[in-house]
Amino acid sequence: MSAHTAAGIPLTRRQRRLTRSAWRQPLAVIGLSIASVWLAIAALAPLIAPTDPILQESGRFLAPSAEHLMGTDGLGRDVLSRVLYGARISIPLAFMLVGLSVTVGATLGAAAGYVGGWLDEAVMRVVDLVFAFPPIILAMAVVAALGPDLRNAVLAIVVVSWPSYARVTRSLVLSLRSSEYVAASRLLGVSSARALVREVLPNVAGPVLVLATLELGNAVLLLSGLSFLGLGAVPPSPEWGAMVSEGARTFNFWWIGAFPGLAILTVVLAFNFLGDSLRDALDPQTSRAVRERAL
Amino acid sequence: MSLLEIDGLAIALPTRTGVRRLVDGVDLRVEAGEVVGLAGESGSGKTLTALSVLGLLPHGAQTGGQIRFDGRDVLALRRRELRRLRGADVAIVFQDPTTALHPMIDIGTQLTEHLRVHRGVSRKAARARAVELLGLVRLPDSAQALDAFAHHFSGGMKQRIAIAIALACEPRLLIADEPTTALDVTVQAGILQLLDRLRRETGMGVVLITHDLAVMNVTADRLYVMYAGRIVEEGATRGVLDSPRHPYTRALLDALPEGDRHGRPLLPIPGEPATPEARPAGCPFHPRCVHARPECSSRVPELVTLAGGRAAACPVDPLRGDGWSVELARHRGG
Amino acid sequence: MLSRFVARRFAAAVALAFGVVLVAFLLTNLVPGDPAAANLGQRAIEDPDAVAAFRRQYGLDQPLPVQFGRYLTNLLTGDLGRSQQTNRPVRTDLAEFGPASAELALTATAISLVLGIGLGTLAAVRRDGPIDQALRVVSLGGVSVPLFWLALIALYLLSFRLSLFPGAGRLGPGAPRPPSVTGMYTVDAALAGDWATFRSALGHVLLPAMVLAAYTIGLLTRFTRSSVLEVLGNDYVRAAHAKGLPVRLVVRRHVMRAALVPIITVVGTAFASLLAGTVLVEQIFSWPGIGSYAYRSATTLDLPAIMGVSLFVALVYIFVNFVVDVLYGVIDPRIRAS
Repeated sequence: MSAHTAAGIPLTRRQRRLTRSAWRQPLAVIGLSIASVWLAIAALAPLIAPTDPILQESGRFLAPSAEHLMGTDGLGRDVLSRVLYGARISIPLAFMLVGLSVTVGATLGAAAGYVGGWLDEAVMRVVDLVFAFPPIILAMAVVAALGPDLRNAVLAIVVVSWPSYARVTRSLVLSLRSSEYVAASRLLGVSSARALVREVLPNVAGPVLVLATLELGNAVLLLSGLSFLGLGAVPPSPEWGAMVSEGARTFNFWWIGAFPGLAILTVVLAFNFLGDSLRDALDPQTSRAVRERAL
Repeated sequence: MSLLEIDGLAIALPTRTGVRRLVDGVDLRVEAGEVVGLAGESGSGKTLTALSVLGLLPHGAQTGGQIRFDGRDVLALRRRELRRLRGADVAIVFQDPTTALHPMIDIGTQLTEHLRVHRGVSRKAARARAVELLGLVRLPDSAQALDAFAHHFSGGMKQRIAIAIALACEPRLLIADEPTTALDVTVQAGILQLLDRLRRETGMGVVLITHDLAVMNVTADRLYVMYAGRIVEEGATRGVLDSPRHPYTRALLDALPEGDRHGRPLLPIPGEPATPEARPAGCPFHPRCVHARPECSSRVPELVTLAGGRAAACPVDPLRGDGWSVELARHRGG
Repeated sequence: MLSRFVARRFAAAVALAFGVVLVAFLLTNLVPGDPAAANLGQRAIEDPDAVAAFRRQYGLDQPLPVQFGRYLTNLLTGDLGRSQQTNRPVRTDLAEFGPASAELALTATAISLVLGIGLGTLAAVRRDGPIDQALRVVSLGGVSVPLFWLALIALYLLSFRLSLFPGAGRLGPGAPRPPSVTGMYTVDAALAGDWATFRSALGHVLLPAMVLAAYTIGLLTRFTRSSVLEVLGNDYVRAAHAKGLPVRLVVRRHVMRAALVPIITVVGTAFASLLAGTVLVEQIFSWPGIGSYAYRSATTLDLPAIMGVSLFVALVYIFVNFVVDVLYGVIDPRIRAS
């Protein structure tokens, strides 16, 4: 087996070590499997769902049965179908959320670290400000101010999430800016910006990737949380958080809230398993190599 | 009976590539009042040997042989007896005082907590003893220092504190693992002088571990040279350093930039130190040895006792004086 | 030196509080549409004088910085506006509902600390063993579970179905409200010596507190584990063992003191997330705290109430972090110097 990625790019030594130890962990495998299943569901929901998620044809509040594996809700809609379709909302949105947050955050953070001075101060003050609010509270306030719909919820969560990436990127850029590699490159005539990019990108990718994977789970939690509060998806959208909210109001019919919540749990768990395994693999401290110190 | 007798010590540790022998049959002796040097590169097993005297080996270590302190085998001691030994009869000073001192506990406590545990000393008496100890290591402002923290002191002062901690219970044996390596050259001399004075005043035995032969020259009475987990040469320091009998010792000396070189060229030792994973067959040094003969790759040379309390593990006699470097020049083609 | 450290931290906290207030103000002004129209409804279209009067009354005709100044002064006198749903000053609502949430959050904090730090230390000491692996899954589960769903499931299963815990609300039917000292029924009942009420109040707070604590327990377990592990790998721990100190002393004095420092910083964040979590949990347990108040405000888009709660929680958070920062400096002398 050659040490090349599928695209034929030779793996650097660090990446190789990552692939070896990450996959050795059962949690990573479990997480990846569950996440893949949900991704498939999100893609294939129209094909595999028994009925239309907004169709109100059956009896209301029917308990789980062979015909309705997860029962029906207060409007006679099949819960299973709604749960499956819910994946098409939560999962793509989560990815989009994280993508946006990473872009905004990493850019601002890198800029702050590289340029320094007033830009650094400004960005860091804003970061501190955002961190001064507990995430769900700030997101709640932003959505309430802008108007409760899914788009604003997404925007609010991006507002709440980008600072984490900014901080990580900034500190990495700062430490690398004064690194010997950049100094040596500068001596050799390479512009410091180019040297920085070549040095920064591989070093930043790792921690940012870990953070992003973990934040995927948080994004799903925040999104469903906001919908639970009525500040996100609006009916009849089969968003999981909104469904749990309905389930809370009709307490006796436990299936209405239980299954969507279970969906949230498994998705977030999968992302967290993955992210945690990635973090373990990339963190030099927990790797076995540390135990073999030069004696 | 010697103060410390290490007899056929072997230490194996689980590594990524399997269980490896990091120390492979070491015999070592320390008498009361003498300074014994243990020299070698990193990876030679010298620190492990030192740690094993206190039973401070890492998780999963397997040991063989005996370590007799005052006649009792340390390796066979139960945990409670081992704990009583540590810090009280045998003390150790680590290489880097910055990491060996706790950053959040005041110096006074660090100086005497083991004293109070081992000897049941009262808090007031402990404080007095702490001031005394700081005086012993010539640290100024003793009273104020007690309430200070490690980061208030310079590297050299921190190492003095570490030595003071080691001396608190008046140990019979002090192990100093690279005590000056992390310090400036200018500070080194002071620490070495301190160690020398202390052992003369207290009569304790000292094991001085370092890779720096110049330090050995100044401080150690007798010297052991380790390579790849084994002792390859031993004897009185003067004798070993003036006329080394093992090619490795010879090579170490020739690689020293300072000292009396008699016009000999500065020669780095070719190759890399043997790692536990990749130990050569036969004599572990032979791939890097200029005197290597065919049989060196198949036979592991025994440590042979020579005249004058010396021993060396090499059948080849490198004692050719200046002719040796001529031989080397010929090897390298002129 | 410590007092200077505290002063610096305090100044930073005040600056942050100011920034937070500014954010809240900007958000309230972000509301699309004209607040006059929103408040006056139909009249806004018909009666321009009423609109003008409204704008004058609330200072909406002034430039933004002036409005902010007014907002700030209002805030400093404790005026957070008027809730639309209760038609009372938000301040009054917060004062009424605050103690209930405090009781819940404090209980949850206690549970999180005990379980989180305890389990984390256990995982570190038994590193890579089966206990460690199991705890890793448990803690990952804790940070993955949606709190509002867990509340629902817990209430349904443990209370409704299995009757292991009492139902929703703060007190059982037979227990009278204790005389109000702190507003926290458990504390008040204990102070009054009314042990029947105390038991009832305690039983009622336990389940929501445990649900609320799920996330922070997961967080603290993981964090404590890595913190303790890092400390265990340090030379000074080995040096402590080399001195022949008993293991318990090494753990207590050498390990935990160093390990607790980063843990304390997480505790601050944990408390904030607990407080925030009440928004998701209280409504389901019919717990009359600011969490369910915020929930109702959110569902009815009661903007003053939402802003008031957000601001309040953020300020509490800043305060808690300030306390944590000071504690940090007390424990780790190196921090004071920097």
